[in-house]
Amino acid sequence: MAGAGSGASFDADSVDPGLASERTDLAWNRSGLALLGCGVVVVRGMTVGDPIPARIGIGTVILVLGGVVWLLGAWQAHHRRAPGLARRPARPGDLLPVALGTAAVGAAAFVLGLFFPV
Amino acid sequence: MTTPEPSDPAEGPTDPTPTPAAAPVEREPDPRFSYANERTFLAWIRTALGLITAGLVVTQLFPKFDLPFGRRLIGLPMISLGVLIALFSYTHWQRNEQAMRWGRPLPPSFLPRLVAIVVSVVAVVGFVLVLWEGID
Repeated sequence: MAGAGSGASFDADSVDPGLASERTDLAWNRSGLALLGCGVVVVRGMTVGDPIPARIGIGTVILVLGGVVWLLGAWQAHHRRAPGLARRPARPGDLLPVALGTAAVGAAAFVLGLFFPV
Repeated sequence: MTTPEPSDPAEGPTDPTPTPAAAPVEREPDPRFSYANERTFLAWIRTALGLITAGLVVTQLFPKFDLPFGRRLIGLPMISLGVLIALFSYTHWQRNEQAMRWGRPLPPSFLPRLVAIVVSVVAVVGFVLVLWEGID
């Protein structure tokens, strides 16, 4: 790494212009894949167990909520542009929906596991 | 910053302008550090999703234990921990961001210890349950 560690001043064009940004994009992709794994289990539970409305409903909530949250987060992360930078660093409004959405997915999973195990 | 107290005549005049040497200044962090903070947030989100998924696998896909609530005993703590981590991942990101902006040291996090404790307890419970099933 170049010697901008003090954070006092840096030239954004001269230090690591694209790779940190690319790693961050990849991290968003991995997070989407982790969510996909969650969705696969939900679909499996919906199709193997009795298709009672509650199980189908909560499962659908998890799938839709997860998909929307991740698409929103990854899309805006990829399109955050800033002068001289590959991307604009995250602001609270960028990440809070992702955190709350993931927590909501977990809450729905808790209800599914507590009341409607297959 | 506290306002200077009115000078006590007995002590003579006090300095009207306290030295601002220690006053912290907010500045935009090096973007690479902001990206790293964002990736750390995402890594915690993935940890949360992994725990939620594992809990769902246990409650939705595992065969039932003889012990009632056996699967839920394993799965629900993991899902609960996942929810907690998802929420705290954001507050931790925000604390780190503020610390970097104001030049403070990064704050400590209790999350790694919490994860270690909960996962260890769940592992022990799972071990005992499997052992129990094997005895029959």
